[in-house]
Amino acid sequence: MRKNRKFIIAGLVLVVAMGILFYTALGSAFDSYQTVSEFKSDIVYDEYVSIKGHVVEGSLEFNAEDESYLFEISDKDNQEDFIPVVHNGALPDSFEEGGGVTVKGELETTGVFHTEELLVECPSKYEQEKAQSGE
Amino acid sequence: MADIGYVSLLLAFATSLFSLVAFILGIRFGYDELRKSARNAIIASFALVSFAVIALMTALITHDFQINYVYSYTSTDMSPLYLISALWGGNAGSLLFWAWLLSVFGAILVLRNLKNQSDSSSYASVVLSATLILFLLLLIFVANPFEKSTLVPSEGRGLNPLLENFGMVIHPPALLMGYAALAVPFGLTVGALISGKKLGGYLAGQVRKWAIFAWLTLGVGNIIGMWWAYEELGWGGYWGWDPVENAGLMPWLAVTAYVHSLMMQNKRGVLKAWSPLMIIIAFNLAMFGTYLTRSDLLNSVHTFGDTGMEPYFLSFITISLLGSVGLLIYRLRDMVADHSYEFFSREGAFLLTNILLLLATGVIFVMTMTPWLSELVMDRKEWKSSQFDVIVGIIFLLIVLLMGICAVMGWRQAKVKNLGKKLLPSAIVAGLLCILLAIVGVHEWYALVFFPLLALVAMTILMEWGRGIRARCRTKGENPFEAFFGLIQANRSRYGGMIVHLGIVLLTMGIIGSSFYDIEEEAMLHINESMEVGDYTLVFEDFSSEDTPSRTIVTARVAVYRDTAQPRIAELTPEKYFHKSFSQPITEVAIRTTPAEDLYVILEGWDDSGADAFFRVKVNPMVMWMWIGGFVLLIGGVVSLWPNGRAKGDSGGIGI
Repeated sequence: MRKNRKFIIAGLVLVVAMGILFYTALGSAFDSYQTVSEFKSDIVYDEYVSIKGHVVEGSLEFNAEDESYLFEISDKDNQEDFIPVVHNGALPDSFEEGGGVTVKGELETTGVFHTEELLVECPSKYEQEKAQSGE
Repeated sequence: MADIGYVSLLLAFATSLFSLVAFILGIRFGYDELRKSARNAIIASFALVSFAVIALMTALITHDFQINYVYSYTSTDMSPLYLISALWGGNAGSLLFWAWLLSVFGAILVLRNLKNQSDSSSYASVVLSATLILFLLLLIFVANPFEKSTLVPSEGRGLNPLLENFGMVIHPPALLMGYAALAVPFGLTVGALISGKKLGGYLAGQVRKWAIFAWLTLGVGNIIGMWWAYEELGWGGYWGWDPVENAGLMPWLAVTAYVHSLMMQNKRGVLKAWSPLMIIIAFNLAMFGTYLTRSDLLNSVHTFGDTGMEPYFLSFITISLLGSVGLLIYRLRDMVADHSYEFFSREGAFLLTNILLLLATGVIFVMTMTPWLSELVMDRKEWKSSQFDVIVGIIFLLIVLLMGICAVMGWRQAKVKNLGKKLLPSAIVAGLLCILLAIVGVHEWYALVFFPLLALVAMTILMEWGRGIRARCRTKGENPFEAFFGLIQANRSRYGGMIVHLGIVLLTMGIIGSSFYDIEEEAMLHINESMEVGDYTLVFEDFSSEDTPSRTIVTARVAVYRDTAQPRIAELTPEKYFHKSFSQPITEVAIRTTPAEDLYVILEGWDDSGADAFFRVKVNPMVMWMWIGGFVLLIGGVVSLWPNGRAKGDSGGIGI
């Protein structure tokens, strides 16, 4: 089965090559999603992270000068611990005060979080939550 | 209605369980009567699940708000089309729809094999019944779509307006259909593995058709999802490597590998163990995707949240994976290739394509699962979507390259000289394109690599086609037009495949163009003020707000100029809707589509007087080619699925 061995070797080389590639990428940039309180208990600045939270009611503002949105995120049950967020991009339609969001980006040393990506929970999920809390 | 539906589900559970047991006993002890009644039970399951679907549909259309599901996802002001699509809009309903598709496919399988019932197709029915039982259990015990409340609300919550898009009508059913269709070739494969019999000509043809059908519906479903995200969600993108999006992509990649491996198996009698492995992976990934969407295992924007289905799905997937892989290992010794071949041959290239597709699937799986996997050993980690782009992109590049070379490679042992001769013209064109791009001012390496590569692949495919046409003109005396269709007619699977490959080339072209060259600008404009985006000048001309009974529509009119001295080339009206019953606004993006690029205008905000408005404008190159590519892919798939008329030569067969 010489040919079979050839295939296996070719396959292995490929897998190893991809493994190395994967591993290098793994070291370079990597971020973790955590809750607001988890992040606050171990703050890192200027590092790409993702934080899951809820938009604090009444916190959304539009800054006309630099055309960005400002809002705060906190854990659902603890609105005192919040992180101010600046978002420079479109607000998704499903974005809502009180709604769940995931922000990806970096916390600057000024204490303001700058997003690179803003994810808002899908309408289907949102409906589900609403349906559950309404009963 | 609710009671009829629920009772139907209970009865369907009973008939499915009966068909499962009766089939096993019937095969085991050779009772043909028992098998016959098992077949009838499968038809009965189909009828009963259909009853349940009709019951829920009726409840949705007649606004029976006492049923929680109807109350949660519909309202009286919805159009019939969206009332129907609410069937798959929620967790319980989409599960019911999944179950129904499974029962339809199960019935088709039985009916098509009435005359020559084999052990393999009987075992396939067992697998389908077992899968249906899982869904019925979930519908009965965990997510009952017919659950009633004691109060009867007078109005429902309605479907989220974001979901009121044509994408909602076709994207979920297409994906679910693909998922469910995978169960049939999986079942037949497991059947062949259990019975130890080869799936001969007739069944082999069925397996191929089901596999292509699943591949086609999954592919088109994913592309429609991308289109929907691009048109409706207003972020200018179409793919975010979200876990649930990946859950739709992974089975598709695996079934792509499967279709190619099947072809090799049928034609050449090679890759016999590889094909079963691919369908095992594809089916279980589909089940895993269904589970992922209904759990909070990973942080996704698309899931229904934790629905308490974890134990059911995980037990099912564990049994089906261990069982089928175990069977495959057990039968491995019997799966000897009919022919030997060199690595440098068409067979070898197919195997390499398969390995790359499997690799892509594996890489996406590991990357998707990283948050969960990494949490086991350290902090929760996650990949950026740009990292997905690069890593998956590289593998995809290799697959696309092979797609072009495969078609002109010789069987068994390819000759470098022949291959070079066939590739030379395309390679010259690709080289010229590369130089041309560089002269025009393109300096990004990926564009200089990808576009010429795509040209090479497309040229190779078209030349192969041209060769066929010329040969036919010569030998049959047809004109090129006749020869073109005659060629497709004579070998649908081959030319269907070529059309699909051209579709993939177009799709890739759109993806590369749109992901590397997009421009984004935003500006606060006063009325009659203008902004420049790329080569365009946009003038904010008018602002209006209109009240209808159900919503307020805010519209901005923007004139688009290429050259301000020339007349305007377009007038765009980005809008925002405020539905009375929903707190979220709906952004209606205005898009000017041309083959070269899309001008994508979003109205983000305004001051109360309407004299100032905030716009976000994007220029997304070549997006149109993605949708064209998707359409070409659909045509190619349909061509290769079209009934052939003549009986296929029984050359290989699937299984053992």
